[in-house]
Amino acid sequence: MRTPKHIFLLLLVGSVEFLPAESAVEWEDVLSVTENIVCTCGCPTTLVSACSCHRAEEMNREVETLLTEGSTNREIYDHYVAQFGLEVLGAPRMEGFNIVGWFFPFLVLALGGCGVIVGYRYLKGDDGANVVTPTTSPINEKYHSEIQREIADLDT
Amino acid sequence: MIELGRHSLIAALLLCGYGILAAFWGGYRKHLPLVRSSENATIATLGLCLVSSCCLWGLIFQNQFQVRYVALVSSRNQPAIYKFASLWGSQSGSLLFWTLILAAFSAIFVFQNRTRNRSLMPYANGILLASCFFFLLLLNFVAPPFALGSSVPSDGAGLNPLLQNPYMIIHPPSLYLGLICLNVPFAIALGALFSGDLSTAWVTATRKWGVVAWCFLTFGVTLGGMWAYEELGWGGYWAWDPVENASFMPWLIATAFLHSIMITEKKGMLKAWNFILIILAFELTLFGTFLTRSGVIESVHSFALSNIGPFFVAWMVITTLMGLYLVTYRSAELQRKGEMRSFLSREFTFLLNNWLFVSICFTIFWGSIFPVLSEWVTGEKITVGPPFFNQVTAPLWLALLILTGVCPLIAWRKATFKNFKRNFIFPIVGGLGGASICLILGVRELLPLMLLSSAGFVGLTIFFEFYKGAQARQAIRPSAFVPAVIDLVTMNKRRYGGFAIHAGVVLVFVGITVSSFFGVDRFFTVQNNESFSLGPYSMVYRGLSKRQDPEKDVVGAPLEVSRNGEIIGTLLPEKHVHHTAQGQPQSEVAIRSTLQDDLYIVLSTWTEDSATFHVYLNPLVMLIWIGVAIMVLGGLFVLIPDQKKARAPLRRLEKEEADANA
Repeated sequence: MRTPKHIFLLLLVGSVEFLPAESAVEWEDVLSVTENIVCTCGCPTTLVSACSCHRAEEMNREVETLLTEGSTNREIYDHYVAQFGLEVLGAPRMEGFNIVGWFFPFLVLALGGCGVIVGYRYLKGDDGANVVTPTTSPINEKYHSEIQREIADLDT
Repeated sequence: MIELGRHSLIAALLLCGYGILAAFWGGYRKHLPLVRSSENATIATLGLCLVSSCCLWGLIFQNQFQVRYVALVSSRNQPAIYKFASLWGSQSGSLLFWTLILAAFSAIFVFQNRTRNRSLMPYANGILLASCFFFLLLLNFVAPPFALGSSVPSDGAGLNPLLQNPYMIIHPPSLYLGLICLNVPFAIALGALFSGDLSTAWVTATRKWGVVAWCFLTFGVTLGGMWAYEELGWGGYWAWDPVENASFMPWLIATAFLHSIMITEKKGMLKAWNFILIILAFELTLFGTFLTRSGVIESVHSFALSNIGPFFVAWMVITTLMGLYLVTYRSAELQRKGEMRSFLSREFTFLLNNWLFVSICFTIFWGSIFPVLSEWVTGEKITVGPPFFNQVTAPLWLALLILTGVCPLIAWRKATFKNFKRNFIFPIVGGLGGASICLILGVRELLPLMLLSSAGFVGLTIFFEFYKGAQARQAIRPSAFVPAVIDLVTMNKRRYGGFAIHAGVVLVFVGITVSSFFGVDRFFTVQNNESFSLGPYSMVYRGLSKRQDPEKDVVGAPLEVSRNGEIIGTLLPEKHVHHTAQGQPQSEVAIRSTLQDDLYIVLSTWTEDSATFHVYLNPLVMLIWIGVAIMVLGGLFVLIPDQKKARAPLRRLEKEEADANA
């Protein structure tokens, strides 16, 4: 006879001790930590705050306990890193080689910004080859200002 | 049937090989019969791929478990609709499905251009056939869908339970349609570069196919989000998973392209840049396919580990080098200077738009590959997840949103203070008013405050654009306001279809911002008939319900739900334990969706007389789905040709180029 598979879950649930309802720690404080920790249930890159599995629930309560005991967020992260390695953090720490990970996109953004300026200057064609210089007769000036006014209104 | 499927694939491969040679040689020698023959080869390839796909579907429906793929993705008790979806449920079948769609798009393209774009057609067709050839090579020699297993199991493993969801019937095909459709603009672009026909034909053709691809991609990516929301049970719709990112990156570049191609159409500028964007979008579709199938990166969406990765890398390198070489080779013909006048012009805002789209795309690309790079350098595994992507891309999204409002209303050539004031004064005041309302409502975080007020600003720019346009129509032809709006919109479908897309974007931004920043969730452990509440909702737990289906055991936990004291029904979150999925329980979420909020309940754990629920209250999620629907409909509306084709800029460009050539 096949054993119902969720019996294992039931056993696991039975082993969990829930914290008292009157915890001094707010749920938002727990979230501020669990939003940065990956659930160790095995689903890749799923954060504890976003996971509804049994393991996520356990980790939520562990974090709540640690916060109640006075641990800082950083200490809680260190606690999990010691157990599971850096992979448990939702994003790499800004230290060592991983600084590159955080700053490289901004470097590329800045380079792209320079590219836009260069592209603008190139497309503007600053050689003045195709800039029409109006003559200075009063009639031309009148028409020129009229045309400029209409162009300004045209595309709006 | 196995032999028929297998031989169809071999024949398709040979035919594709012939078609490529005939297309390029015929194009080079201007030998029309050879070119026509290559086009017929394209259509025949579609026929053979269809035969092969039907064979695999037939084997799946007949439970022919001697075929390894069938045993992997199907089982006797699997519902027929999921047997149908099994074709794209794993590696080799999805490659076959991909090839089928690619061949179908190629055939449509050939039919569409029987008498048009003849100078670039041989090469464009050759490129499409080359893409088909690559996938047929994989299907014949690397991941054959008709390979036999070493033994014949009595039943198959069945489709992954997570994939047995109605969204998975339509999400992969729509995503594939979008990704594969990007092959066509790529082929047209390379065809134009090969042939040297860089007039305006490629501009119109790539834009139209680009819009089609964009619509499918928008729809497909969103369906993926909806599937994740309903099926993965974590209360969200986007997790910045590498495979999700892989489907999103081509969308970003395709969107950048659809903006910058307008500059090419109207001003003749940015030709080379548009070619680069098309090549990039195409390469990103391959990159996504590579990520999903190579096992390089861990993801909940990826297929099993396989040896297919190096082939994709090789194909990406070949196509990138070929594309870049051709752009460089034709660079002298792609230059056009002197059309940009000022920083304060629509042309310049398009440059900024492209800069932001490409930067966001790069950030996502970088975040997706950085774990591999970091492990390679430091030897230690890391995760790059939502905290990274949210922090790095948030300011860029904000800038892009603001630009969505500015870009369509700023004047071409050079904006003056007068027209700037006329177009933006009310939206800016409206945006600031929106910010004040948010502050009064208690929004204190800077980012949501800025996002929501910017969304208000953009929404008002769109509203005033319709309003002023309708007023102008009324001045020309007196009518009521609504008929004037209809008249206005149908007169210029591209412009107002674009505004509709932007309106959809605004709704998406509002939905994402509000649901991300103001959603709440809690765990509740309750006894039978005990009540609990979250926000305006109260729930009473009515005890466990259990049942056994042929393919799974089901545990449900019915909850009687009331809102503000009024009973609104019963929700039933469940856990399914599929018999064929190694006992891993899978959440079946209960969701009550309204325009205002989603009550989202996951059954976490249970005992005989108590249960633990993870309850989410997600506000305005519905706005996201509505916004995306408007975006897709706007995209389709753009594709409808105007009655009076306002092609003046394009004709001017054609004339100038004809004069230059003369």
